[in-house]
Amino acid sequence: MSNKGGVGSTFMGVARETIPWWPEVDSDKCDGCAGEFDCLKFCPHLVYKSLDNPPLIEVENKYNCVVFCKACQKMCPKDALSFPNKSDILRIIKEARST
Amino acid sequence: MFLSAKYVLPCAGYDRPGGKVSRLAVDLMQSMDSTIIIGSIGALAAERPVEIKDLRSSNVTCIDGCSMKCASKMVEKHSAREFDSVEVTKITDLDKSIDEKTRAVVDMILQLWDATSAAIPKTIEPEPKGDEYLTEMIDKFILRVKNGLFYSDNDFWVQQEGELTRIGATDLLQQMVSDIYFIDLTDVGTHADFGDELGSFESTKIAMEIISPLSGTVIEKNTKLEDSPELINEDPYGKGWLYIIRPDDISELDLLKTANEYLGYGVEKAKHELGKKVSE
Repeated sequence: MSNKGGVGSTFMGVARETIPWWPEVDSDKCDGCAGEFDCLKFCPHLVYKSLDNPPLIEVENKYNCVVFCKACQKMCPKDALSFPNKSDILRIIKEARST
Repeated sequence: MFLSAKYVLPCAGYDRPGGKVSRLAVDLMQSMDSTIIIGSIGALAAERPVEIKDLRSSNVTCIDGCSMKCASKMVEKHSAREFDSVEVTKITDLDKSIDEKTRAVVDMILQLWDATSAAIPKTIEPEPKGDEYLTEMIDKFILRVKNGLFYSDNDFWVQQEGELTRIGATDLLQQMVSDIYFIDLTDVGTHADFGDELGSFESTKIAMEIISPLSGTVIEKNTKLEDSPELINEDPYGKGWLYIIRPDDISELDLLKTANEYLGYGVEKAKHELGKKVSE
């Protein structure tokens, strides 16, 4: 699907770069699925990139991440992915819309 | 999906009188209206993609040559949508010429279509008319946005129905994800805040969450989708609806886009997500 950066786009009328929504990878838990990199394969928005030696996942294009989507979290067998609190994000969006 | 074409599937019984009359009838109908699509039981059995697409995107009428009703059974196998059917046994048994019988079958079908178009719609969702939809052509892709609904940037729509709301996926979303083959709907009684997950679905391209476009409690879910998830692709603003939700605060709809606003947003998104450029 998309290979365009989220930078420059808007979500709910607010510049995407002002919305702090992207996954955090716990590097203590992540083992890159022993090189299979399940989350990277799953995400169509090119949010992740893989590292080798040892295999590990990092977030590369954080603003590509679809706001409020946490579908990849269920894919992680190590529970290594976490997201911000959605109500906090909605409050940030509402405040940005009101300015 | 706006069903504009007529698809008529004749009996394929070459050894049956009903089959011959059925085929002559569809030939006559197509000579009267060249837009009519003549279906093929053989093509449906072989699941040819174009045949399946024509079937699912058209108003379907079956001509069953006998009580075996092969045409109707084939349509039921490949489409979840309602369709019309006529059985021509009584006509083929008449002591009349083949031309007279053929004309009688055509008249039967035309009377059925006239009666259907005059009938009060039984579905809850109104049939699409004229300017009920906004459309934008992007290369070969047509984006359809239904007027009067509210739209989230996660590509779900909200329709106000009195104190309740109905939600579903947009035409843009169903086109981006392609054929949906599985859906997992959340339980009635579930409460979701704006942006929370309300189940998920899988398509040939992606597995994704249903992201709630408002805060509220699920009152009803569309259980037909569990057997026929393709209804989301076929009729995203109608029979493909997802949930009926009692909203916590109806003013939350102010956060969403109107149809016109979503059309502009959707065009830009389609350019990126579908890799197409908007034609001037």
